[in-house]
Amino acid sequence: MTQGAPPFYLPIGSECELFNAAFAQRLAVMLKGPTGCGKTRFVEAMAHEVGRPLITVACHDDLSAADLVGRHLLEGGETVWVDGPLTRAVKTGAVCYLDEVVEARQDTTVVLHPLADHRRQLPLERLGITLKAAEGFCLVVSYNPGYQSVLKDLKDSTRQRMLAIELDFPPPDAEIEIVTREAGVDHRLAADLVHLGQAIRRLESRTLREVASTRTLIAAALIVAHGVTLRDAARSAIAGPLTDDPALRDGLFQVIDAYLPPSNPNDGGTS
Amino acid sequence: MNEASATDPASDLERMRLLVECVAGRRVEVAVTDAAGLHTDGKTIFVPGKDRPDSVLLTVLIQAGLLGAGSLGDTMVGELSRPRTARRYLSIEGRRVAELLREDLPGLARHLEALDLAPSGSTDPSDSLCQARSRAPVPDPAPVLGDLRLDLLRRCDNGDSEPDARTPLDPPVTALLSDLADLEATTDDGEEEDPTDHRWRPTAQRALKRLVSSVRRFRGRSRGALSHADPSAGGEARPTLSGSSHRTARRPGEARAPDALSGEPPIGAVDGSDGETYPEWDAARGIYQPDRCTVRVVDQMTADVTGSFAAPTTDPALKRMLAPLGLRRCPQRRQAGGDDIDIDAAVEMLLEHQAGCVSEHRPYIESRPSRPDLAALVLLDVSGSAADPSPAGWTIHEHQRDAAIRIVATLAGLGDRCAAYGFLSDGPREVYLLALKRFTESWGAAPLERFASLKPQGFTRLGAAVRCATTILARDGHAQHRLLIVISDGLAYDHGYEGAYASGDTRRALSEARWQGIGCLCLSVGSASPTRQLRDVFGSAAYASASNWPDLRAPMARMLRSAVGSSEQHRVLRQRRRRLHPATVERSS
Repeated sequence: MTQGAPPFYLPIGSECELFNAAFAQRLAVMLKGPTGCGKTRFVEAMAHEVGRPLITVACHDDLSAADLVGRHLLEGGETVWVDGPLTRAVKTGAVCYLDEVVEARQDTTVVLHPLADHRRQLPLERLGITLKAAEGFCLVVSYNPGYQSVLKDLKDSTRQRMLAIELDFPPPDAEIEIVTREAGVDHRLAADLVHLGQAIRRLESRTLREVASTRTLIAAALIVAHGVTLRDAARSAIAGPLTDDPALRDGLFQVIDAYLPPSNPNDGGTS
Repeated sequence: MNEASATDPASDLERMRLLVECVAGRRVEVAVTDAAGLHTDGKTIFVPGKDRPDSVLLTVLIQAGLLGAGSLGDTMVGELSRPRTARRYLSIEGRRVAELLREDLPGLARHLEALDLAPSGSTDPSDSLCQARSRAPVPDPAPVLGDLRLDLLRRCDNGDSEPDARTPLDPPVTALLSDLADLEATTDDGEEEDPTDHRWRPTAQRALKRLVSSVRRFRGRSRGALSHADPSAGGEARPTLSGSSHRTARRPGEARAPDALSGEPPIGAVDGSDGETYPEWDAARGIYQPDRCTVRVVDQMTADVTGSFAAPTTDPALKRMLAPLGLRRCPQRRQAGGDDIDIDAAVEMLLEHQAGCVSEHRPYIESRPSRPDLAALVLLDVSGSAADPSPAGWTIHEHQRDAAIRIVATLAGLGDRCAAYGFLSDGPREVYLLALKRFTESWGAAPLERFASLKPQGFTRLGAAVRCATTILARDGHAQHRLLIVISDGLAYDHGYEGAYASGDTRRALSEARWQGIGCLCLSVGSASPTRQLRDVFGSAAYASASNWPDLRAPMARMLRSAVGSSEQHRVLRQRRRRLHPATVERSS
């Protein structure tokens, strides 16, 4: 069971109601949204709200079905079965969150099918058994539709077993509140960073692979709270992670210098 | 603020581009121009190469702000027929935008305030227009606001126009009416009358030129429409064969002018054959016209290689993007982790353990993507229209050729199978695929020379070229993942081949390719305006355009990955259907 203070999550639309309904009806959930918009925080908050432990798996290119379900390992002269995170979640009735699920190999996601529909079962072929999901088990997957390619899209048969909840960057007022709460900075500073974030999000996608996320704005605010100047913080936390290309980086620096107020009112220059 | 930067002016502009996009709220290029005065055509902001003002950044941003605020949309520009009104509008609206920028860009607020511009007293572009039309005194536009080039703005479709419910006017006709309105305003407006001012002459000349051009185009279209009604009929329209994109129909029965294909053949021997025939799809009638086209695959000659040709350098960024493309997973033995136990390694490990030896703990089999399994064919449009100059410098052909070389060189460097063919045509019986690099050939000097010797000429019969390329890919690709990459500046145009007929045939040819498990995508680079038809035919997920290679690279890499995925899905679907209905699939193929 989860304990401690609930993770801060500011609802933007009806996502919390949708999740609660899905949990109550034992439906799997698919979260869609850009990088850093709050998907992981949302799952943490909802797991806390429904009172279930959360097991998170960061999916990647080489994630195989065995990585999720479990495998035999050789220990000395013995062969030992070790449960994977999905199996542990099924046994304990946890919320299992597969972050960026499309990064996993497609054959991997097929093991989710019997878990995501009415059967709520996990067949362990290597052991010749089928596990019934414990009460409270909930499968949640997430991915970023803009970033992923068709090559890594979810199979239709997987998608149609899930309830989709779409998240996006919060509107400016909500984002200012989030940055203020998360980083413990004043409203004015948060507003300046959100103003910059909104400007960078207007850049067309072909210029940058990603745009300034709420997560990067919070990171910038956090280091400002630690004494770094606003522009240096924005350069380090927002521009730096977005690109390695020197020309693009310099362009982003200029955007930062224009959209953020100078640290010293007498120094309003762009470099 | 480092306005008069001592650094390279080109890199200054490049750096400025992101900020300009943020302010304009959409993609806007920044380019150097020989013309005087900083101005925009709606898509690009032109900065004078000489006598650049110190406040160039602020002027660029004000022009971007005008674009972002909708001040230079088609509707507003259409209202600015009188030069006096336009000047007053720039003065008011420019100051209004500067006020908005002062709020929006706190980092530059001090510099904007230092401009000491009078308050605009305007709330939006319509208000500014009302004030501009009034008799109230308005100061001349400050130099920092830049210039207003209505002629360029009218010529450029900047996407701000609102849909007109009335009968849409042909763009040349709209431009003509606009020019005539300018002409009328210039002569009617008492303030503009100046016996020594002959600025109206170019306007009038332009209007007349457009009038003549429109009439010519209308005549050409009439014949095109006729030929479209029955493209297989003998009386099809025949375009001229100039190397430019100006395409005018020729009367049936007219003597055929010496053309590029027969006059200066770019091609070598025809492989000792008369070529392969391919059908063409008539979408209006819903039928194939069997054996309608003859396509010859020929070797591109290398006699005309110019010494000035500089091959593009390798592109590490593209290589990184494409490296994971089309790799097949292969089981790797003796791994520290993996899905299965490697029995041999496990037994060895056990024996060594029992013998008291210390051995490495690697008893698993892991499958990793490690073997290239991709075949790509680049189909380069070398028709006459590619000889047109590109707004970004070079010709469109040079941009396209550069992109093709980079793609082929990168794929070849990654160990993928790749081939490249140019394509052009002169009627259905003369469609050519110019072999630049065959699948069996290594990448090197010979293919580069063939690329260098390409000369844009002839026309574009895209459907036939796609069908022939599909055949080559299916026959010689020998890979699980197969890709057809078309690089073109526009959709098909050839004798009796244009409009809906050409779109329908090209779409059908692509469907045939995809049905065979071949991923298809189209790229336009350096072209003045992306062809909407190409996007419609290829789909937005398989068509990308950009003014230069760096802008094309990232979307292209994404689309290549997407196309590989698409080809894989079709291949699986086809295999499944073959298992279920073997006879049907065989017949359809």
